[in-house]
Amino acid sequence: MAYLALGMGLLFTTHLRAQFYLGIEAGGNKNYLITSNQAQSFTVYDPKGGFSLGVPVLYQFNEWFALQSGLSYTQKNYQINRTGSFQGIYQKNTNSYMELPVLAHFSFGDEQLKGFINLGGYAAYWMSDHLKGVESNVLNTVDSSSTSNTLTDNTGVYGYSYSEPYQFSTVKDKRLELGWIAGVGISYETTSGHRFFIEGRYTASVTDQQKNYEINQVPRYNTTWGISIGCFFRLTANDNIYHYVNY
Amino acid sequence: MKLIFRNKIIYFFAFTSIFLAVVITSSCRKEIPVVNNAQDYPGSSYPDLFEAFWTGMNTNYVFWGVDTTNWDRVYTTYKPLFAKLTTFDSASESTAENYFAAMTAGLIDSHYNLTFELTGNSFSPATYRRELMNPNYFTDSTFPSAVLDSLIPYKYIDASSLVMGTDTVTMEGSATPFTAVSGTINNSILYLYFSSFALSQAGTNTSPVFNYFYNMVQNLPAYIRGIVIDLRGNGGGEVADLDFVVGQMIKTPVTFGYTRAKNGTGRLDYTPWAPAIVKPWYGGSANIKVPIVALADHLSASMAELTTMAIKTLPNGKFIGTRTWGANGPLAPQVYFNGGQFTIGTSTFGSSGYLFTYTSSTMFKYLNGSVYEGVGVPPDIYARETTAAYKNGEDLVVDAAINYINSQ
Repeated sequence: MAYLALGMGLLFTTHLRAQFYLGIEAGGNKNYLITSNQAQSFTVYDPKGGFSLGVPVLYQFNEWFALQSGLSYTQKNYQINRTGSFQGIYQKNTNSYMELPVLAHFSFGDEQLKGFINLGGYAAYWMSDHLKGVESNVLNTVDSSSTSNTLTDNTGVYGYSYSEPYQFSTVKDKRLELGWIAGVGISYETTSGHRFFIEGRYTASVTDQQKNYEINQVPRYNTTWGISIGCFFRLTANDNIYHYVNY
Repeated sequence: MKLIFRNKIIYFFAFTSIFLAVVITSSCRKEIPVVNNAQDYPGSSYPDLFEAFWTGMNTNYVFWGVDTTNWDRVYTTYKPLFAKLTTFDSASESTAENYFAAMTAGLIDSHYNLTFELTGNSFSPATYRRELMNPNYFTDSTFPSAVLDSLIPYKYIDASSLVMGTDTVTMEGSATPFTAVSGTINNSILYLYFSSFALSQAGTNTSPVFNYFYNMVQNLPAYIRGIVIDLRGNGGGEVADLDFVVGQMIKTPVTFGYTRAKNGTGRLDYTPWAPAIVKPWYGGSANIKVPIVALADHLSASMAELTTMAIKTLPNGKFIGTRTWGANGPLAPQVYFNGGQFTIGTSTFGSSGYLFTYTSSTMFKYLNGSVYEGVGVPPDIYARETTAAYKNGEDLVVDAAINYINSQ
């Protein structure tokens, strides 16, 4: 409580005339699916790169504190790879989310060049999952090896290459994702009110990708490291912005 | 000075917030349990064997997407029962085997079989259910032994064309008789029977049968008005025989269904559907235009059913007989598809383990979207041999095929 009171006190002791910014941002990321697949032989889950595009908004209360939100399209991709003699069998999951963060934006530094920290939560909707990969096709045998006619290894059947949308299951898939975001970056604001920024961001879901549909279920969480660049455009006038209250 | 002091407080506030957020984030996630491979459980007690089996089934069983068995309810029902089995003795073993059988009695996988290695006992849910519904399910069939021994080779097939023989092949590690019959019927229909899909093991007695049949297929005489492939009583076998048997009668690949396997530890984690394809045989094939009829019955299983469905998909294909056994999912060792058959209790009981679970590695869906696992493939034209007809010297199923071909 004392910590909260300190924060609130800092916020409201600096009376201000707030500014509103609208921006655009784009970036790349690498997503890790955090789960356990020990029961799967010769199988690993690897992180994959993706990208994000967003339209952030910033409501600047004072020189050091703002609230940031906005809407962004974010990919959270990963790939399942078979290893050993099964190498070549894989599935890349390209997951598309529409994400809505609510962030506390703390900035520090001089008037133009600032460092900042973003901290808050997000809600995201899992819009789609595109599957691309190769699987063993048990009913497409390699005839030239059929003298033994048994599946002695995975060269006995052809691989099946696919690229198709994933059909969501109403029983299994939880499409609303909630989580936390922590970001750090620097920004530079021109006299004309354009604030350019670059930000590194850590995003961690706290909700399972799956509904609770089975006993002893193994959860799956997205953890995403990203970097983005963008620009905020100030939509309010730049007069008498900050009025510091002495105490 | 006050501003500098305030900035320090701001930095402290911000960084502490980040620290707290990271702590909160990590603590909000559920703990991720380590789900071991079923084989990796120690299996040194009945409760541990139960956990291994339940988990192995939860992870490996490929039909959860269509099977109505409530596997969570099985867990909550049987976990406390197994907990009461505290010692390994004959009474506990008998009770445990009954529990395992009851847990799986409703599963639709008709390949499914439990083998209890300590006692040699086994349990097949599909067999159990069929005998429960009809105690004469197996004994009232006059095929293949009676019909094959007396009717088809000597009353239907033209004597001058008859080729037949029996070899011994290895099926599932056991020596098994392998019989094949071919010839023409009424000098207008080319007929082939074989008892299982082990064509790569055809020896000196059965090779001439296949050589005769496929020489005729690839050089089809004009007087042949139709082809009959008799798969009644055929329990299946090797997947690669599909192209050899059907692929010699087509010139372009035919998709007749789809398969999918597990691709995660979750009950409903599946790969996409991969097309099930029968291809022209690489050693040569003919573009057969005359009707091709597959005969199958309630004992036709696995590859016999897949071959039946491949034939019925052909534009000139037809399935005559009765609804098949209903075991359509191909099998492979567990490591290939991270699903299917598995053994538990090897750490305690040696390499054979305590319990071997024989189950499909992939689920099959016919071209029309139907999964016939557990229910069997329905015929295009129903026909079933009866004891009365047999005693009259008639095979009603072959008669139906002859009538169909003659009507085309």
